[in-house]
Amino acid sequence: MLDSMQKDALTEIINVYIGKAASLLSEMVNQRIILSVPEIELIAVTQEGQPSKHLPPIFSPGHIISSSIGFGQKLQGKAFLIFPAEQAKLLVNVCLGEDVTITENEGLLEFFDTDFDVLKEISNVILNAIIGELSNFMDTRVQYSLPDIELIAISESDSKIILKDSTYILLLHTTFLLSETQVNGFVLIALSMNSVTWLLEKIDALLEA
Amino acid sequence: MHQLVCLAIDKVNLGIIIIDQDFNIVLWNSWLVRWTGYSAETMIGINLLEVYPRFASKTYLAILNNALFNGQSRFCSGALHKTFIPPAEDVQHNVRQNMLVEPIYDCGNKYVLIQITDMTGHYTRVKGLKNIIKEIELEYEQVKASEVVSIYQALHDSLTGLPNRNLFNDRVNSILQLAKRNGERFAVMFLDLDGFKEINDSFGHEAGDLILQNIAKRLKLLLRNSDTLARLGGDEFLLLFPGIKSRADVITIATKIKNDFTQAYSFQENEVYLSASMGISIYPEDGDDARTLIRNADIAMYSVKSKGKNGFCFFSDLD
Repeated sequence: MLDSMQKDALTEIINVYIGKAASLLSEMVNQRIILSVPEIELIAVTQEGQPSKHLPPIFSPGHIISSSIGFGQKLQGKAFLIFPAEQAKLLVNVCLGEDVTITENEGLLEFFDTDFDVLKEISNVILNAIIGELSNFMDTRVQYSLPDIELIAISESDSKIILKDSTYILLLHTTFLLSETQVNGFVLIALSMNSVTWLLEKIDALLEA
Repeated sequence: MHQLVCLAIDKVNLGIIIIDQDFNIVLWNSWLVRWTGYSAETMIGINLLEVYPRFASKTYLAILNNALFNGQSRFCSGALHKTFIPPAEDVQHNVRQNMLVEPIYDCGNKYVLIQITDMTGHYTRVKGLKNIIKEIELEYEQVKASEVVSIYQALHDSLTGLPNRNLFNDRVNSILQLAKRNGERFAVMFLDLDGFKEINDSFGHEAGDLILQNIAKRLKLLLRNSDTLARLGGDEFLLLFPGIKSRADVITIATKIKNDFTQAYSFQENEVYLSASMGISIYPEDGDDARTLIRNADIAMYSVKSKGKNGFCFFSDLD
């Protein structure tokens, strides 16, 4: 889907964007947060809703927290920030300066509404930053929705739901480093076919320049 | 219609502010009037950044500008930001508000819609709930810990730390099942100290307790790991010897115990000499349940007592 040059260019661009998101987050929670995206993949979704390649373990059965923002106009799609439930809880606890040891009670983590609010805001900051910078890069304006947050129990067949209406998924493996705690999640940007084609053209233009 | 919308905006249970691109307030709803004590007439036309300087700080100015010029919506949680619009009087502590910032474009003009939701009660409840959960977890840990202690206490003698009658019975029953299945033999010994009452009378109970602890320690050294030594109370002990091949094995250990008593027990710079009377029953000949085996060992022990003490006797040797 992406050749190595395109992949490198996109990884570099995205890391700059996410760096900006990290500084916004750091200010917000008053501690140093380092965000990095070591790997980017572009996955095509076939008409049957099946991804063209194996999805990462985030889609393996279990509970995940997914926060999503839709964006539209010329650049169109939906961006998701996804964490395994226990990683999400860890992130919230670090941000609130609470105990970072997570104990799972009979497979159920204790999530309060207020925890979801914190996650909603974190995802809002990160996704706005990425989409915002991406739209700057594409030299266009987008409209954003507010984040929707969900706790989802994923079974084997459910991974399709997220991918249902999208043609292409830009998958950013994202690592949060907060003081001494590492939290792993994913940023997933589902893009329409036109948007992907346009993005690739822009990257190619950048590479040729 | 316009008036209906205005009425509705004044009825909603959240604060609604609309500012123009110069940050001047164009809408200030009734919820905010009640919350802050500032009337709409006072607030409309006033610059938000001047009346609430928090919005002039870098972070919040960026949020407002992003809404105005980049079309970005933003949610801010009370958990991280606490308060945006403080209440009129400082009667409420720990005020928490969620804030939603969204762009509105109308007839070529840019506006920002700010929605403030009071989450104070909610946060107080969550905090209370978190404390309750912590307390319950702590109590549960304590109950678990005290359970372990109670189980230990229920099965052990507090003076010597040896198993008590209950645990001894339990061990006999386990060994009994194994012995039945594997066709093995085992022995139960009833041991009663000779002349212990005199020691208690002459030196006092405290001295008696020290000697009992000493005896328990020395007896344990004579036994294999698989053997069980239990204290019934007073000067009575029970011993269980699994995997006995013949009477000779039991005679060996009984003799070892008898000989050990020839050495003095010292306490508080005194020395005393004691002896023991031991009765022995063997499974399966002398009984096939714990109760019978212990009773028969006891009977054999009494026979030793009546025949001059300081020795051992098998139940099967009684007339």
